[in-house]
Amino acid sequence: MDLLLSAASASFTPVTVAAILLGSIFGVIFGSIPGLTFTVAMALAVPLTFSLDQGAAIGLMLGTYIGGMTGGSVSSILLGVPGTPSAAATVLDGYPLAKKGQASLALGMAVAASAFGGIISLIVMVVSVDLVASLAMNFGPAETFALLIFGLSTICGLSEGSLVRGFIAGILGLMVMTVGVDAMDGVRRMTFGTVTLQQGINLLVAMLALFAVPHIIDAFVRHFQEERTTKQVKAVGVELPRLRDLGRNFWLMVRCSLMGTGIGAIPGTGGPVAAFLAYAHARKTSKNPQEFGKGSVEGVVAPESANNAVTGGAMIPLLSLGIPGDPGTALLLSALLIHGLVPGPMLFIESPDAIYGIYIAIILAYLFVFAFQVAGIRFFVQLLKVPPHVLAVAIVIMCGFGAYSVRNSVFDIYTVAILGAGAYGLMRVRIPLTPIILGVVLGPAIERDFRTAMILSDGDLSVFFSSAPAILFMGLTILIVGTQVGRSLISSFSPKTPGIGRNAPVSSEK
Amino acid sequence: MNSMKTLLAGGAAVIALAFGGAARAQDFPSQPVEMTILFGSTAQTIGQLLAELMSEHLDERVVPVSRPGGGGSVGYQHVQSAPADGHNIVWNSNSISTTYYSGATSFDYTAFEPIARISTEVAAVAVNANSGWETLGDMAEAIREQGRPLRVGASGRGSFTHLATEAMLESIGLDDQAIHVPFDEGRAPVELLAGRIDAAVQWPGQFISHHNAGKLRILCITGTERVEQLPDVPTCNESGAEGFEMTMWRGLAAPAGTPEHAIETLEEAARLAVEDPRFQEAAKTIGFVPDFAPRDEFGEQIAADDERLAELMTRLGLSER
Amino acid sequence: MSERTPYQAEQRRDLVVGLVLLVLGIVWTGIVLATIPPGNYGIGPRAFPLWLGVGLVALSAILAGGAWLRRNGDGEDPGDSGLAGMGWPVFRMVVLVCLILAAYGFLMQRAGFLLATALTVAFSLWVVLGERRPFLVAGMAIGMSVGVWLVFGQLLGAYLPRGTWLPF
Repeated sequence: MDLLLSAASASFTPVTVAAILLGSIFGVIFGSIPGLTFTVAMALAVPLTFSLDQGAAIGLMLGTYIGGMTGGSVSSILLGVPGTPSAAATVLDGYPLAKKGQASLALGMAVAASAFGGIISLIVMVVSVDLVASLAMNFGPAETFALLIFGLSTICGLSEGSLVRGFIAGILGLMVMTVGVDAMDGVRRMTFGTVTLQQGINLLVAMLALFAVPHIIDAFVRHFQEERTTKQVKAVGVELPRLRDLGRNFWLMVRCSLMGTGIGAIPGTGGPVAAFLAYAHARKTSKNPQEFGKGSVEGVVAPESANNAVTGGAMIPLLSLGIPGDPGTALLLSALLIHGLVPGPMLFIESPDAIYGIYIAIILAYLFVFAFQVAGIRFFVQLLKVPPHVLAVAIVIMCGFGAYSVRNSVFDIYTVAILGAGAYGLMRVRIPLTPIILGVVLGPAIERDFRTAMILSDGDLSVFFSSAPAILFMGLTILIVGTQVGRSLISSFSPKTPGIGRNAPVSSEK
Repeated sequence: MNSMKTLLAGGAAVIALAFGGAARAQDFPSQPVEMTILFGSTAQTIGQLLAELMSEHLDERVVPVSRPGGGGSVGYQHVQSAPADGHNIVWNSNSISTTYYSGATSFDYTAFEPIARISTEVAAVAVNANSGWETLGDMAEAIREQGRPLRVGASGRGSFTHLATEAMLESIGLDDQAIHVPFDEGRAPVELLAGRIDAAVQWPGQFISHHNAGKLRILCITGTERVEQLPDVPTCNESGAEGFEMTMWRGLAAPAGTPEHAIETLEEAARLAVEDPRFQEAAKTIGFVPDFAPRDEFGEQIAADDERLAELMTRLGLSER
Repeated sequence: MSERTPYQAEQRRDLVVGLVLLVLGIVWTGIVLATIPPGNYGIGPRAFPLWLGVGLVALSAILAGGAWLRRNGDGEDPGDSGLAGMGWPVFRMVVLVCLILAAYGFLMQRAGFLLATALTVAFSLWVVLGERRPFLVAGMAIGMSVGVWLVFGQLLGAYLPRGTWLPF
């Protein structure tokens, strides 16, 4: 307790608090704009920390990380284009809610769930850092593969009716991500002899192509089709969630936060995986599963609490083992190093005050992000008053700028254009896009963990069924895919099943 | 629209005329210098710090621009094809040789003019403390006795740590009794702690905390001399891998044909940046050795290392040249 | 044969989609086999792309086959895709958006961020969308370019390309 107090007094220097505040705002701005993510924001923040002292430097980085993770929901809800890959699952119900005129409710729930998830993960971190770290250690390549393949199995639920289309979409997503240099063998794949293609397809670039470009094309087409009737500028009401709404989802948020913390603690998984799994979980346990995809509040709360819980979860292996889970935390790691903190088991022994400083910085960052976003809702929703075609042009620019800023490469803008046109085409023929993004998110990690596990086991497939977590997740996957495929087969071959739309068989009476 | 386009084009032409003269003048730099950074994580942070400190000694800022991908080939390609006027430089490393010999790029180190060497880094070989192995010799002996393959974690095939691993295994005679397990940056220590691999070759920074906590043991480091952070850890040469040595250097280079005076200006700024106490301080915690060398010496080292890496990669079947 | 029902039209379209994806899958698999080495140990770099290619071939065959079997069947109207428009105007717009983005990227590298952004916004609004309110067009063009440049380039220190055409 003394340590906490002394750390508190150390953290509450005006410079540190200002740095956390600045970082939070910086992060929210980058997070909320499609194409700009906390990874880019954190890379930009590193040089800013050079002139700061340790506490302020870490505060700035943590604020940016947390702000960026939270801010992603804003454009997911308002534009239907996720601000960061972690917020892709939020689009599924956040955007329909905004279309129903409940944008401010969705935004409010999202930020509340985010802060809730973040704080829960912090509590987990404080009380059981060693336990979670050892849990993370038990997740070797085989276990991680099982978890990821389980994540991929949620495609079944996201296929919008037709399993075959869902699987095709998932495979297309996985295929896209194999382009480039294979990091394990150093082999160039599908690069056609060019250096440019060696970059491969960046996750963020694929996401812009899948969400933003179809949105732009549709807005442009509608602009002509709807004969420029006087745009009905509807009054945008500001309806903030009440405590009752939060209370109703309390246990869902707790479960998703714990899930997010656990997934965040496993290196190589991260926010998007946690968000999609939480979404699938929410739908499975919901009393109104048919509402999902049409604007369910639960469908916003679940992914947002999970993806923010990832921040705390990812801090556990980072601080206690010195292992970064994704490029963002890798930058956090090098910022810690440059300011004289070496993460790892000795950090907790040698500089516990720094650890408490980090805890306090996280709490403060969530307070700031929450206050900033709640205050901002009024202004964010004004975005809905902007004529759609003007907004679409603004998204074109943000797409270009965002795609470029990932790796400072024009190739990424071209990729957005080409994949985006493809994505629009697929939408036209009703191939669902969500499984594609799932394949894109999970593809590289699934391949890497599968291959590593096979190298470690010397080619023995039983490695995927040799530990409790692996058996659990592989079993669940087989169960889910099995029942779905079975159900779809039965409905295809049984002579007449009323109510099955798309897969309805040739009617035998004809 | 047409009138607007004309207007814009016209305006641009006027401005171009007004400023065009300035660019041709002798004074360098006349615009911000773009420093292309090839890798993320600590390499990026060091590059950013270097750029920041170099800016203090130049008339224009040095802007760090991250262009990752293809093991460095993407960034090299960008700088190689950029105007050779000194405003485009690359934060390079031994990867200039490995990308060329692996066939990722079509040009080798001669496409660049060396500016200065900035730092050197060595990798570390670590094992789980429970293994009871104190030296590489112990490890080799135990593996041969048990007659099972040694699982070594390192980065992907063709990476610096992988090449170091293979060369080290060769010198302790385990090269045909080892399995290379490629890991992403940062993952190897966990796998080692959990006992899924027997040894790992990575940057010392990833092991130090675990080493001090007594969970992992760093057997040796791959350089010719011991490092300041780990005074008790021998070099691999001392630990049983006779004659083995692998050091990674980082430095700055510009496209071939860059004017002499621009290189000189940058070299001087780099020297001052490396001598800066802030750079020295950062080196201690991030885990690299500030090791400035002027361009002539740097150039000789690049050429010598290129020859060595070419030979090593050919022997390991990794060369496509 | 009389008029096709929406359900039947849908099946015809699925048949085409399935066949296109089938060809894509076969081409992909062929390229994978021709250009990616199988690897030296474990599951090599070829395995995943190959399995995915084969998977795509199989699934698109199922899609096409199912649609062929159901081509004269009877079922519910599948509903639309939620996207506006049909036919040529839509196709034209897809190509245009694609070209705008590509041209924006190209210009950014050459003319620098400011000019490229202003031109792209002005072109999209004025020429493509037929927006004729001069203040809106000019405001958006200048606002987007200078705004992003100021906030992200100057204030937050993001790197924006300067271009190679203009020497400043």
